[in-house]
Amino acid sequence: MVLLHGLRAHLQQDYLRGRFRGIYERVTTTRFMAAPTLRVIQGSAKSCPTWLDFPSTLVALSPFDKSKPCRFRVSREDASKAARARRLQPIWDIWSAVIGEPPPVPNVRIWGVNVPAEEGLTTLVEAHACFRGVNRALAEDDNGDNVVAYILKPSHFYEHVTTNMVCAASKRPTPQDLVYALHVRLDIPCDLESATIGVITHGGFVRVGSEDSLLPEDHASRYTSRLW
Amino acid sequence: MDDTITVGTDLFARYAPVAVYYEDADTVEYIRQDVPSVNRRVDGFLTLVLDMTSRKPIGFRLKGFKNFYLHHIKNTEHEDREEFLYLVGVIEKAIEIAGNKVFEPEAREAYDQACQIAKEDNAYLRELPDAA
Repeated sequence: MVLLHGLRAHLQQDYLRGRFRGIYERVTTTRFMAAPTLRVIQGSAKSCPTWLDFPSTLVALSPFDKSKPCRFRVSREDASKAARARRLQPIWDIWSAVIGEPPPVPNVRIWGVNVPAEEGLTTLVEAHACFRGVNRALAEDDNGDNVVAYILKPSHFYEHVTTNMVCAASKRPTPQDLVYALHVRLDIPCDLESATIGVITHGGFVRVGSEDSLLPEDHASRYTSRLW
Repeated sequence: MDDTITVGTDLFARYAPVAVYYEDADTVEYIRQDVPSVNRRVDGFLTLVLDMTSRKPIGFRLKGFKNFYLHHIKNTEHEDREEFLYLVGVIEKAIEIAGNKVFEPEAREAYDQACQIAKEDNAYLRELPDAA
């Protein structure tokens, strides 16, 4: 009976030692090792495609004084979301109308219909009109008062094509009755002395009005005021 | 939706229509085709998206969506709400709210077109605004 009891105790001790060895070692070694620290690792595990790698900031004419330059940050969140849904046309539009470069995809600069690749595109600094206030709620901003819209008129833009295996971007003329409206959310408060004063959020082609072929139709009701 | 975007992302992959909430723009977008398009503003809530070539509606945008959702939809939902938010219901709610105002015939037609697209495609939103 005593032998049996001793054997059971021995087995239990062995079992427990084996089972909790990991914890035991961790407890004993952590006394002598520095605790691991959290480190921020820049970037993601997978590389971002070049066509989604917008410049982090872009130069524009100040909404408040056309004679002065300012800088806006470029939001990549919505573009990434669109890309995940395989919707690339709005991304191609931004490259064409705002950044002024063809979307950086293979063969874009050498494929026949695209050459010369940058001709006809516009950059943000070439905007010819600027409005403030979008007369609608935008997240926490009930009236969209802190949104400014830059109007651009690229003569050409890139279309996302999936049927041509040579190049996924094909340059085509912009219809005459369209302009590109780019929306920027101003920082609150908007400090004109800071390096950037707002973030570029989204844009799109809109029809021009019958009275002015350079301005969006209904611009008087669409926006609160014209800045320049 | 495949969530990966890498250098190797297939530039020639076909787009499958899906409703997406864009947080920076505070807009829900539902588009049938990934083609060059023109935005036709209907009012502060709805924009119809037209094919740039044919100028026929291929989708719509619901603007100021977070605000609209918090004020008009979230409170009316039950605890056992569905996982998805069907967009036809959202558009119908917008029409109901604007009901007292007189819809101009053109705007009414635009709302009907958006409603039809949402209904035909059974479009739904899976991801709601953050604060929702």
